[in-house]
Amino acid sequence: MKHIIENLRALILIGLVISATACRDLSAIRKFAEVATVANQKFPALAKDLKGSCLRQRALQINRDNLRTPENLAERLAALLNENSNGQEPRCGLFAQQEEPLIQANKVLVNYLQTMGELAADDLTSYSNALNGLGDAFIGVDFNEAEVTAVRGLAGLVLKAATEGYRRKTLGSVITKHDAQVATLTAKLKDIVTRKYVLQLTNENDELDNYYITAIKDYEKFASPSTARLTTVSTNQPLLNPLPVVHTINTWVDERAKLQMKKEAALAYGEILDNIAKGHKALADGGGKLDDRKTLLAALGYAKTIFSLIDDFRAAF
Amino acid sequence: MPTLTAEQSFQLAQNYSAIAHETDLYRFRNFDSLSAAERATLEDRARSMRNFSSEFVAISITLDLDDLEGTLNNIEDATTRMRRAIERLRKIGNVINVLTAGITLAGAIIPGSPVAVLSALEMVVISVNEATHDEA
Repeated sequence: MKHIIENLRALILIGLVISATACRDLSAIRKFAEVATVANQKFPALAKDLKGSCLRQRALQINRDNLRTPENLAERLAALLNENSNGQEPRCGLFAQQEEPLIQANKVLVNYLQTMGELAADDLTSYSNALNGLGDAFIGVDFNEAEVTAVRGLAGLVLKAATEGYRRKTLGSVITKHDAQVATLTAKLKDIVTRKYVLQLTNENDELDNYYITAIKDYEKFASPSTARLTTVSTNQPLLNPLPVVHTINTWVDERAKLQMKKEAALAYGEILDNIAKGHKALADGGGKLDDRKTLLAALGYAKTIFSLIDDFRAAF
Repeated sequence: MPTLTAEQSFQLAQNYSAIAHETDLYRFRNFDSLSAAERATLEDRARSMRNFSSEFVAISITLDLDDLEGTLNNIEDATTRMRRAIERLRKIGNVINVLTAGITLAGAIIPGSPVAVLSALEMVVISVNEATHDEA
């Protein structure tokens, strides 16, 4: 019995030594990686809207042209994805070509974050089934139930600590070594989304404004002679039937609001990417030592910010 | 002609977009004093500028993605490295299962020798430590 106690003590000692240096929870990294992954998985819808925006811009132009020369409608529709434009049609085919590479670039970031989360996950080093079997080893041995439970628990702790040491070391070195690349990728994606996509939405918005403002002004000119008999009392100017204009303005405002929502979603996504880079940098700045409480709290803080931005992004996509 | 950078292409996109916008504003402000032909010409010019702007946006994104190629490969390598670590931990899990079964067997064969069981357990810990630190 004396030997048993000595061995138990030895096991406890190993457990305490390893756990003191390596057993700090990696769940903050897992949470950070999970929430960042969820946010990024919605990206393809945004990437596809680059081409979508260009096509909507073109559709507005076709509608305008159709008022002038309706006989050329088929030809205009056929040129929607034309890549040899002279400026009369936007080259939406160029956006279509970049759709997949852009989605793939974001996917590289998603895969990286997802794998980071998996490596930090608690269930990866769960040996509960195997450890439960240990109980049978003590059948017929002079161990009581409490002692068996203690040994099983300590063995679990030691195994977990040992494997966590490996996880931490691998994660730490990958995060430190690749922080610059993650910063480059997130910055570039942010730039594409918050400046380039937003500028394309601005072009679409201007085309929308042109379409509706020109239509309303043309309507004023069109309607004036026919309604000349109705005049305002004060200025003696022709009075227009306001109903078509009211309806048109409502449609215009609705379409503008949709574009504005997309712009806001794009900016939210940019902030998400920013927070991914900052969170990753916080982990890397710890010099690969992922057991630092301050570092883990920082990662968790960025995860919370990302989580709060997801709804803004999802509102439009 | 020198090749455009992504940033230069984007600057052009911004400038063309701004010119198109200003042209539209001018047309709207002077709508009644312009002739129908003048309005049509201005509308066409603004459209061309805006279309070129969209084209420069697309070119800028293409150049951005070309620039990213090395970075993407590097991050993919890091992902592969972490996947290997995950696989290794899973394998270690299997090793522990086998070793634990061995201990169970030893406990059954040598009843009354808890010292042997505990020693074997220590061996499992050492094996796991060696295996996990081997590659890290």
